[in-house]
Amino acid sequence: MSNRLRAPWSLAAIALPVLGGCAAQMQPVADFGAAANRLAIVYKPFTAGMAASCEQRRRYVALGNPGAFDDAATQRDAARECGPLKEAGATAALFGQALAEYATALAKVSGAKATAFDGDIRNISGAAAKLDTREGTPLFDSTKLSAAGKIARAAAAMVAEERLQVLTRATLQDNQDALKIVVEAMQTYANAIYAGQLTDTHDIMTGELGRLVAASNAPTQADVEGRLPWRFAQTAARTDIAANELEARRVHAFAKAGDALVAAHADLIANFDKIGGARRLELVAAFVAQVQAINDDAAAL
Amino acid sequence: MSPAQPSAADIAAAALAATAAPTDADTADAMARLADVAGHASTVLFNYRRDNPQASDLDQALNLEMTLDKRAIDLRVQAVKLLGAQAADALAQLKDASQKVDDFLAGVKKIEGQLVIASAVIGLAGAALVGDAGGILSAVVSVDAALAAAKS
Repeated sequence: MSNRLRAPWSLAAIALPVLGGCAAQMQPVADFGAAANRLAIVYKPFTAGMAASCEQRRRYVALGNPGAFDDAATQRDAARECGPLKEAGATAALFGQALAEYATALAKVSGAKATAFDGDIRNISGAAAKLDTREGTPLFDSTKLSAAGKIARAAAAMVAEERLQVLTRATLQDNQDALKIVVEAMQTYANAIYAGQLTDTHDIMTGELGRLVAASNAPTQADVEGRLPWRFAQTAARTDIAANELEARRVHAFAKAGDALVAAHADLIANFDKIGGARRLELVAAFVAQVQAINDDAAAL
Repeated sequence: MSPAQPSAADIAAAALAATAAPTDADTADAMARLADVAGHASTVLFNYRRDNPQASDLDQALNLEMTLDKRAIDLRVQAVKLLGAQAADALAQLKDASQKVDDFLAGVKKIEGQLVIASAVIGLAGAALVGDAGGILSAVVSVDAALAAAKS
């Protein structure tokens, strides 16, 4: 059962309809919130993924280097060398948290059950406070941090006042620019920075796979036994490459869905007067479909 | 075609003229693009080592490869940090130089050329990490010269 139905949300679910017309169900808002939250979930692995991909590249490079080879030592070296990317990724993760909280809050105050991804809706975890503590660091510029803090605080306010508050056009309008800034920062991280790291790692792995295939050639039956390590090793390399390619596809799909997210949010604002009775809005539905496609691609692996 | 070598005064004038602040996205994209080039050049050198185990310049290739790899990491961290307000012209040239090197690496077969280009890219990456517009422009000139020499 979804956490969404746990107290205090179960109380809120009762309270909202009781408040009558002031809390009409807003299905498009619920659908938008749940899909945006799902997109933040898609983004989350990217933030740890950059350091992990860097380490993977380092391990493959080490396999091809002369001299002694100790797998554990190689991993330690890779983790040390790629360490700065881990810290950068941790900060990049805060943008995803801010988006998730805003999206979750919208889904909760909508008074409706999302058509898709409703099971992902969780409680607010307090990204606003975490973002505040990052304000003094040099990671990301203050404009973007302010934007992330703004939507995180909006989320907290919506939740705190849920029993009384009606979602207003002003709430959405007030956060449209901040949402756009946050999503663009996430897109830049994913599509310009993380994607480059994935490509670097992919190139090294495909080169090594080619060498494994070449080394696997056994001119005679008597040569086969000696080639078995290379032949078996191909499977692991192909698995790594497939995972890398899936991640790259998810990154590109995420970037595209980010544009759809911002457009869908604007659609909610533009059609706010109608969303109380509307089952769907075109741009929201298109956004939900894009997020669903990302999920389907991952499930296909 | 060999580009005309700008004088120090030309470089200084260009750096002084480049005063417009780029957007944060421009800065991050330029850094990310250069990181991609450094990573690509590192991969080219790795493949060279792996495919030419008897070559006489393996140590030099390994050294450059590792340096480029480290630069790629640093540049990606820098891209995330979005530090510094580099001059717009320097950024434009940074992107242009990155594209030229990438195009070159895609076609070149001679390792001598790759090593020269790799050294120039390391210099460019260092300048970009410092965030100094004049240093970037100067390093771009070195990359252009290295490309011209490698093509001749």
